[in-house]
Parts: sequence; structure tokens; C-alpha cells
Amino acid sequence: MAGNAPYKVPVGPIHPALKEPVHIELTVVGEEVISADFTPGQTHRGIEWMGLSRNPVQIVHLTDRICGICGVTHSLAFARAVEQIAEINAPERADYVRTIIAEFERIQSHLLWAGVAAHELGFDTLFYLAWRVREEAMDAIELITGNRVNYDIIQIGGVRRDITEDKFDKIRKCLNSYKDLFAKLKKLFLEDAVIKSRCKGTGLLSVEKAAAYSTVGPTARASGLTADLRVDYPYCAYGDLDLKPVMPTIYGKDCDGDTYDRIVVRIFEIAQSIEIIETCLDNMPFGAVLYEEKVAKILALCKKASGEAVGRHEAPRGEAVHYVAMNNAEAPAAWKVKASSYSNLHVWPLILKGNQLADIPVIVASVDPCLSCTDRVAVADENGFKKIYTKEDLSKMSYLKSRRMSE
Amino acid sequence: MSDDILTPEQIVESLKKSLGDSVLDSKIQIRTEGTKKRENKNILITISRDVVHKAAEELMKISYPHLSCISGYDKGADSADLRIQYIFTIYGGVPRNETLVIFSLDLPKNDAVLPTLTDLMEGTAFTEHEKEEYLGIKIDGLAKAEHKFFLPQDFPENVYPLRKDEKKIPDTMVKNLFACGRPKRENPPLENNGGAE
Repeated sequence: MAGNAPYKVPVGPIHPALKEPVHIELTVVGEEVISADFTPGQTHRGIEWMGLSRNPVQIVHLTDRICGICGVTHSLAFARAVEQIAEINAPERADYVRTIIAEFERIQSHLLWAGVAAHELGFDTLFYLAWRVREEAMDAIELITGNRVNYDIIQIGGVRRDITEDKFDKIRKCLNSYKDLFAKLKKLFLEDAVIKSRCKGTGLLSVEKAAAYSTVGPTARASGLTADLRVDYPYCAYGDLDLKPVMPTIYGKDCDGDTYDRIVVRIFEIAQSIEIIETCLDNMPFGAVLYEEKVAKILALCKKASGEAVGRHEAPRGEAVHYVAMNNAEAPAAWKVKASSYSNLHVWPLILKGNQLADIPVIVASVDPCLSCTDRVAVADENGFKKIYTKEDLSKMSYLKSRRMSE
Repeated sequence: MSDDILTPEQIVESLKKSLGDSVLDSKIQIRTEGTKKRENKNILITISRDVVHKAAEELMKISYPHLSCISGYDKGADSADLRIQYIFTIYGGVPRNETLVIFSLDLPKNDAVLPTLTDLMEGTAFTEHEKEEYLGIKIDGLAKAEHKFFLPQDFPENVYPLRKDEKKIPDTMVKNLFACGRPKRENPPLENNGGAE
């Protein structure tokens, strides 16, 4: 490498160590990172902007597409905000269905993350195991919602599908399989010598910095902040449960705020989610799951509504916030989405500093960043020329592909 | 900071006392969900634009806050104002006591400047940069960023995605997928199979 240290090492926006596009620029001396900067915004899709010309029921479906992993987080937070403004109360049974699906989402999301983390550490057999067992939760989600990714189960005023008694057995069977597996997952992720040596003491985030940066979810809890919306801010069925936030102390250790602690929190949160779903199944109240079944009537209520509110939900990555303002009109006057990763990404420069270059992928992944899908694709052809495919190009290519497949 | 947990009414009272006439309006929203109907507490306070920093300082005296984000919207192409919300929570980590505190304010478009809160909470820089990029607000005292955080680096200057006035996204930048059309078929299926699709 020409010139003198420090060197700039660009990573991304598209890179094998990143699951989604983000540009990270590291300044290194030898193998040590002395400073780091990052540039998100590679995936901006203008969803809020699209929402401002749609009605709340249409936006609920749009919110499902914000994140491919948090399939219920955004629709739940948005629906709760609109319900507050329009003074709609979701039925109690809907609160329980919402809680159950949200906890299944946490299980599949944490297992997905665990697989990614194992892959970043070069432990690919563990990656395959985590993603194989994740399928159980995906199957349960499909059983409940009919879909595996964009669940589309939330509606303003409740949920679009009930969890009927005939599904309980299959759901319990899924939970039991995770119970049987938990000891194995705990042993593999938390007792493995390589994982310990790579993750303990790396990616440190102090409790003071975690608070000053308003971090959320497992990232915050691993650093010692006890914040968890499900415990602190009763909503859905969480207010009926006696929950405690999962902290690294659950594994008999201090809160060090390192990569290892973030693994501890997520692994034990899977066990907590299993308990929550079981309790909810045992105590499901009877009744309807929608405040109003006729969509036109819900829309009429929304159209008359005026005011502002914030809907929140503890997503797998932490607090998601939807601010909505409505003003007696079909479309909301304002809609602001604050995804969980918004509050966690900006600690990257802090937690990357002072670490070894080889540990960067797992430290970056340790906050479980979620950067969503791409808005454009840059492709270099065999002659080295770069071409940007626009959405129009991609749309046309998808038509042609569909036709080729049907021929 | 006090160890006592204040009720929403006490929080509003305390902020009114310290901010005086700069508190223009206040509202407490209590929501109950689930079978036990435990309450979640939400406070919405409208303040004048001059006391943003002081409001955050006074909230910090009650309890160290969590800033979820700063939100904002353009009140309309004909309106002279933007509406900004500072979405805080306090008592996070205290079971069943977290309280949402939203400071809302009107900000004139012709003087869209707000003070930074980075001297109080260094992590506010990220969401403050977002307000600069999306609404064209200048954050006084915020260190200049070397690059954009939320928009593509080649996004045009003086265009702000959430504005509705002359600084909004021009129609030329809006691409409607439905309008791009389908590629023409060389052999339309109707001709190939005698009419059956």
C-alpha cells in the first residue's frame, strides 16, 4: 500500500461482510481501527413521502414493507398511533394476537441475527443451525398470518386474522421444540471458546454513552440500561404480564456492553418470548379481534379524526416509533417513522474505535443493523462499465423474467 | 434529578413553572390496553421556539431522558411554518412508569433555525442532521457533517423531501412505476393460442 499510515479502508456499500448496503470508512494503523465513519442512506425509498398521499388503512400495508424482518413492528406502531388519534380501542383478544405475533417475530429475528453473527465469525455450521431452527418460527408465523415475511395481519382497530383454538397445538409444538433446543443454542453461542475470544471485550459501549446516544433494545440492555417498552410502557398484552428486562446478569455476569453481552441478551430473549407466547395462549380473552370489520367505517372514523399521537413498539432491535398527525382528511398531515436501528447505528464510530480490523464485521453486526432493501442497483459489466438500473428498468426486467418462466 | 416518580400532571406543572408563558398548550393522553388496562402515559406540550434548549434542560432535571427522535412536517405550501416535535421519554427502565413527553413547536420557514442539543446529549446529532436534510432546518451549533446521512450523496441541494412549498421534490424527480409501461411482446399470446390467455 502506497503512502504512510493511517490508511483509509472503505467497506461497502455492497460488501460480503454486510447484509445490507451501508458505507463504512475505517481509518486504520496496522490492524487497529483508530476512527470510523459511516454513510447510511443508500436505501432511501421515500416510504413516508408515499404515505402522505394515502389513507391510514393503505398505509398499514405500506408499513409492512418498511422492513422484511420486522413484519409486524411498523404496522403495529402505526396502527397504535392512529387508534389513539381516532379514539379506537382494539379488542382485548386483538391485543393478545398482536403480542403473540410480535414475540414470534422476536424469535425469528434473533435467530436470524444469531446466524448472521456466527457467519461473520466464520462459524458457518452454527449459521446453518440457527437458520434451520428459525424455520420453525417462520412456519408458526405462516400458520397464524398466512404469510412468512410481510404478515399483513395488523389492521387499524385490531388484527385481520384470529388465532383459533385449532392452531394452538401446532403453536405449542413449535414452542416446545425451541425449549428443547435452548440449552444447545446457549451452549453453542455462549460457551464456545472462539466466540468468547472474538466477542468478549470488543465493540464496547459504556452505559453512559448508551444513554447519551439514546440507544434501544438489546444494544442498550447489553450496556446496562434496563429500558424495555414491554416492561416500562404497558401496551397490547404486555401490561398484563409480569416481565423483567433481559440483562447480561441473567447469565451470571456483569453488564460489560461488549459484543458478547449483546449475544447473551438476544439468546435469553428467545427464551423470554417463548414464555410470553405460552402465557398469552393460556390467557387469551374471548371475543372479536377487530373494533370494526367494515374497512369503510374505519376509514370514515379516521377521516373525522384530528390530533397527533405517537405509537411505539419494542421491536426485536428496540423501540420503534411512529409519529402521526391527522387533520380531518383522508391522508395524514404527517407521518414519521423511527425504526429501531435509527437509534443504534450512530454508535458504530464509538464501538469500532480501537478494535482489530478482523473483528469489524461482527461488531458492525452486533447492533443488529437493519438497513432495508435497495432503491437502485449498480452493476459493473464484463467490460468494466458501470450501469445504474432504475426502478423502471428493474420493473421491465421483472416482466420479461416472468414471461420467460411461463413459457 | 429527583428519585421520585412524578405523575404526568406533576411533570406538566413542573415544566410550566420553569418555562412560564413559553408553554403554549399541554395535553395528557392516557391509553389502556390488554385485560388489566394498565396505563401508558403520554404528554404533548406545545412550546414557543425560543425555549427548545431550556425545555430539554428542564426535562433533564426531572429525569435523564431518552430522545426517540426529532420529527417534523411542513404545515402546507400556503403555511409560513414548519411543525417540529421533540419526542422524549423519561423514566425508561422504571417498570410501568415510562412517560412520553413530546415538545411541539411552530418554526417559521423564513427563519428555520433551531439550537443543537448535542451539548446536553451528544447522540442528538444524528436526528438533527436528518432535520437538516429532510426539512432544510439549520441546526445552530451542530458540527458540519462531511456527508449526507439520510439521502443519497448526489441528492440535489436546496431540495428537501418533506417540504411542501417551493423547496419540495419537483415533479421531474418523481417516477411512477405504473407509467413506465410493459415491454412490447413480439408475439402476443392472443395471437399464438387462438384467444385463450
